[in-house]
Amino acid sequence: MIPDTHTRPASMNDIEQAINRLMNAARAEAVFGQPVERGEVTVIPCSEVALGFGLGGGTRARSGAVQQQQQGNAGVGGGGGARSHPIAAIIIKNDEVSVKPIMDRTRILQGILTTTGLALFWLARLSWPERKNRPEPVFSPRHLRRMIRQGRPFRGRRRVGFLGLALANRRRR
Amino acid sequence: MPHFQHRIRWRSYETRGQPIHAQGQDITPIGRVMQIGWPRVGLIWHRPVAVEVRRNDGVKRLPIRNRTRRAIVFFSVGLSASILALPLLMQQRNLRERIRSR
Repeated sequence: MIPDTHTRPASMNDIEQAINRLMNAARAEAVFGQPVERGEVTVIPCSEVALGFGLGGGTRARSGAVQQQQQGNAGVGGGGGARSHPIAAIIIKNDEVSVKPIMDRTRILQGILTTTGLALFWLARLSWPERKNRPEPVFSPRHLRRMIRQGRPFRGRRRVGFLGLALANRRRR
Repeated sequence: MPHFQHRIRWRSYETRGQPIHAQGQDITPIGRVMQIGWPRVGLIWHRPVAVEVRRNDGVKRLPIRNRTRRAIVFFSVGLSASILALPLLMQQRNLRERIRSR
């Protein structure tokens, strides 16, 4: 009988082997690409590689089911992710070697947007009044719920919507 | 597996690629690896740091800089510093106003 090797559960050794393969990212070939020659110019691409992984496993022992546990009532699992970004290109031209950095505008924009968002949130947080100093709302939560249920803010000539209702509910001092 | 004992282990080392012979010079790419090993968790960060050019007249090392990261860090640190400084400035202004009103 041919052993069914494709459907057998992954063992800890399999996952460790997979991790060892992932460890190949630590080799220099993972970061520096193959040189590309075009006429008198040779270009070597350089990129940054980062990867992370984790694995776990366990066994479940049911009371009075020792035999079942021996049959393989256990599981292992793992996961990981990797990313690579181009950083620079080494250019060899006319006996001159130069390093040309690569600016990733998308990543810069992402960073700017994230930082700006956090900064705006922080500024808004600074302007929020303390809970004890916060003015009492005009409508009680019960009243608001009844108004929304009846659809009053969304009907007629004086419809205000959710935002209008929220703003109207702020009593000025 | 030797990497994953029951404690955090980290190591950093330099990697050297195969020297490339092009146009009468040997070019060796150099990278730096940082490995962090936890029990059953691992992180690897590998980045290029320099390129070594070996000619008849000597060895030259050209650094490889990550301009993208530099731009992001510069902007983030600048904005964060200015945002953090804002409450201090406001506090000082309030203090001055209080002193004036006395």
